[in-house]
Amino acid sequence: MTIETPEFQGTHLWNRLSWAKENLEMVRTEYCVVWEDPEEPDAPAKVTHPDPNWMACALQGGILPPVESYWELKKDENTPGFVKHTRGPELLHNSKPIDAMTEEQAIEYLIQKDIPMHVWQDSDRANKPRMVICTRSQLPSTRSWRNSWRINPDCINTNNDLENVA
Amino acid sequence: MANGTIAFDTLSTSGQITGTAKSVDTDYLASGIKVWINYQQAAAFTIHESLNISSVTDGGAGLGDPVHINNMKNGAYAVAMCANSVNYNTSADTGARDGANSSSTHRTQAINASDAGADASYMCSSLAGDLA
Repeated sequence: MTIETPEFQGTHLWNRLSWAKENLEMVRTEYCVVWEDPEEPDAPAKVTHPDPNWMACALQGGILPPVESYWELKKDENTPGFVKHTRGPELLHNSKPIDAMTEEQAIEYLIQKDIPMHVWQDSDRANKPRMVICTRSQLPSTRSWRNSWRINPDCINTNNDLENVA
Repeated sequence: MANGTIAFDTLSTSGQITGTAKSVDTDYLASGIKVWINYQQAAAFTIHESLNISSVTDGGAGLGDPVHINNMKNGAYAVAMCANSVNYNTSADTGARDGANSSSTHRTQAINASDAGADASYMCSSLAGDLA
């Protein structure tokens, strides 16, 4: 059964999430994002897993704010002297919610929202791959050597693989 | 007593109360639990249930950074956590000690008796504070 999203512009985002949790089925995607932070060269590869309630909101449409709102909040938070957010109503609650996305579009949105900008902004020009979208089945099958995970240097975004470096 | 309902911006009862208001704007419910998550690190990294979370970044053994959909007002919120594991003595730790918490994400960390990161079979955290 198709559930119609109420007109949510102007409704507090947290209340929209409560509505979604009550009315939408969770969507468990197979996709995840593997990335390395060039500012932490010794850290293992990180893996970002989308939340199934969030994915349901993304596919439903009319709930989530534009990703640019999060960039503005990040800018505010990084401003010297920041004490607290004051633009929440303007950026999160009163901005026009984004339309329904495909699963692929949702992953792209999530990368821009949850992964640091310096990782994804020019990742295609880096001298080694630092971000890969892959499926969970492409991750190493065991976590025994989790802190040694690195992105395979030979891997490109269309040929995803991880190298388990002990 | 009748059960109440949460309807958008208003918390209301079904009406069997006399002599008092039957609804309250949720803005008045300040500083309650605004974010929570129950996820698994060990074996297959899996998010079981959550509210107000867009993703969890697996940062290594025992380390996970849930990211919020509705930012908190700032990083000065309260985090409650618990973790359990089958194979070793695991306790929960937050990243507050190294400044990893912000309005948009908080750090959850499971450690073993040697203070080393160790995957938890269940990692749960909840945040109380004000939203942006």
